[in-house]
Amino acid sequence: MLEIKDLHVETGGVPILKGLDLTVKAGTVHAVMGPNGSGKSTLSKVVAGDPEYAVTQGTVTLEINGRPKNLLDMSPDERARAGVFLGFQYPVEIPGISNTVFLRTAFNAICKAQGIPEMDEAKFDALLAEKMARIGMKSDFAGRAVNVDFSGGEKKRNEILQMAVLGPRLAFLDETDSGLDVDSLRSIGDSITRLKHPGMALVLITHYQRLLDYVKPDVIHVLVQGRIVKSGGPELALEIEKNGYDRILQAAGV
Amino acid sequence: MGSPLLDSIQAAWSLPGRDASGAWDRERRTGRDLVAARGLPQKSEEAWRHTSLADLAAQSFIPAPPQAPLPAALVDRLTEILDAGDFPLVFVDGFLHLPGGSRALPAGFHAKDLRGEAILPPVFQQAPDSREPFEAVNRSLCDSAWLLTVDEGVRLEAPIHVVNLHSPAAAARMSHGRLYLRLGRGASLRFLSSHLAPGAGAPSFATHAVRAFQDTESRLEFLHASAGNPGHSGVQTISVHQKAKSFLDFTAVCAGGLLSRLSLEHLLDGEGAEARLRGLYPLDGAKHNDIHVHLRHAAPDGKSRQTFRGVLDGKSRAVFTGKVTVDKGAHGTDAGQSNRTLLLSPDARVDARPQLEIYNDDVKCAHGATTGQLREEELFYLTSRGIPREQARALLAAGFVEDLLGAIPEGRLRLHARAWLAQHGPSAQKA
Ligand SMILES: Nc1ncnc2c1ncn2[C@@H]1O[C@H](COP(=O)(O)OP(=O)(O)OP(=O)(O)O)[C@@H](O)[C@H]1O
Ligand SMILES: [Mg+2]
Repeated sequence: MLEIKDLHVETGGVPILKGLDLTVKAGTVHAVMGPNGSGKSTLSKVVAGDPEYAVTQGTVTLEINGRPKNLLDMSPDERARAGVFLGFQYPVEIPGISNTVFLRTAFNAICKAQGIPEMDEAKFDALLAEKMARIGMKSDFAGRAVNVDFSGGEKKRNEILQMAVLGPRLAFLDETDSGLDVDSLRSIGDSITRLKHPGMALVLITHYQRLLDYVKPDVIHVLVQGRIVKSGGPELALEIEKNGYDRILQAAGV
Repeated sequence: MGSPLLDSIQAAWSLPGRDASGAWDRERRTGRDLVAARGLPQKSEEAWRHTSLADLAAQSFIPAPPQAPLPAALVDRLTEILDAGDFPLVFVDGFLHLPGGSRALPAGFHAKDLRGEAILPPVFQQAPDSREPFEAVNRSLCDSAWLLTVDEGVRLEAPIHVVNLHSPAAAARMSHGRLYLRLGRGASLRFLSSHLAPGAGAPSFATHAVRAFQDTESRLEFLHASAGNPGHSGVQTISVHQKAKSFLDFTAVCAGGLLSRLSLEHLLDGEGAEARLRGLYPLDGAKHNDIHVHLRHAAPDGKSRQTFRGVLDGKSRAVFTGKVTVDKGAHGTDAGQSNRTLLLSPDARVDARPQLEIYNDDVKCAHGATTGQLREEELFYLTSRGIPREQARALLAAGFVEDLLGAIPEGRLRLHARAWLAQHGPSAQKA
């Protein structure tokens, strides 16, 4: 469903991704691991269309309505309306706009693009309340400004709420597990599992096995210095947790 | 030094049929002396450097006559502005208009025509004269002048809403309304002052002045809302004199006009007085707005907070000057001022100047002014959720405004401020 080939990305003239390949099939869960600064967040932002990053080479293709489409030709909002979602490592604070208004606007933009009637305020409020209850968010977060004065863990939970409301087909979740207490980790892990469906591709960016205990991955990738140097089964995450990246780096000759 | 504007002001002084007497007459004479001595502001004056008076000064105006009954179009405007919970005082072209079946004034609140008063309460002479030249013009010409009083210890819940309407007319007209507002010891008041010049944009000119006195431990929550059509020039001056432990929470929402100027003069003149000022100037098209604040701490342990924000689109033009003075004896002063302006278009322009004058070591003063575009990071976050870029821009601009409006503590004033911008602000703020 998602196919990335020979992706080269730079920002401010500095190359970050240097020939990255990644293929993710619908209905599968992939995890991307790798040392700090290796380019994991950059990869997720490029897929979402962050104008901060320039693609200098390669392709990113997503199957939309059964046809491969070049994501790089689409604006971030077009990509989102086609089903791309990014759970940010550092969610952005938006003063003065409530979670409700923000999510209703996004939800209706997607409805409009799909030719579905937009939802009125009352119906959307009810939908949001239901999603929030499922995710385990207190109702007062609906009226609060997006991420403003949220704790680190609350911001991460808010990303999952957005995913639940927008119902993406391709989701990158960038370190959704960092900053969560053990109970939150379990509840968010369970929420993500519930949001999965056979038509959806999920990419988890993480440093630890802990989230993968709840959301079982099919494939693990190791990203080092802008390239995927190794891919393997779920056991790869356990090996990294035990031995770190040294052996993998040596084997890959980096 | 002469100009068609000054000529029309002087001509209006000697118009027959405007009987002056009592305190009102004395105010007008003092105003004339001030105008005669000072004239209109010159371009060289620091306070008027960024707002050009050239166009206004080249125009002539005649005083707007009293209107009775009110034209239907204005009645409609009034219904839009007034909330059922407000206690209304309506001035049309500066003249009090008593709507049919007007309610009795709330207990402890008085409204008096200065024409019938022998003297103005001496508390209003304690603060220095306004430095705003147009305040003197207003004083010299005021079509009416009213004294509003809240008695000692009286706490009014329902807002008193003073509506100032400038009626549209083919001829270039001017109007000048003036209010004195006095809060007794421990009194509290919610006060709305709306200024609206509806119409298609024929030239018009209005000045308005509020001189407020807050006695010890009084509390004033004040919302000033203004909007002028593209041909309207409006200059409003608000001077507040605060005594010990009094509290002021003031908000201005200015939708601009051809020329729109708000002068705020605050004197914290008693120990532990506190003033919170916030202001918004969301503009588009060719609208102009100029906010000039001078806040002076003249007594110990005062606290002031100022937050002013603008959102400029199109070819709009804003000026913000915020000056804070801390007197020698004002120990323990805590003053803060911030000013941020968002520029949504390359043709919009703001001139912002914070100024501090401190004659004392024992003070905390923070200030800053920033001008910038929307943050790419925020835009990306919104667009990454499927919101089209233009809509995301409008939403962020609205959020920038709402972030400040949401800080208005009193619910009804907050609602009124929102409604005002939805009705009179630029379309970007209507999201
Ligand atoms: N906007 C930017 N400007 C300059 N350098 C950047 C920018 N974004 C990323 N980089 C650099 O690119 C490299 C990769 O960053 P990225 O955030 O993708 O790493 P990461 O793998 O997500 O790391 P972490 O595990 O710490 O989250 C880093 O060296 C980073 O400093
Ligand atoms: Mg990262």
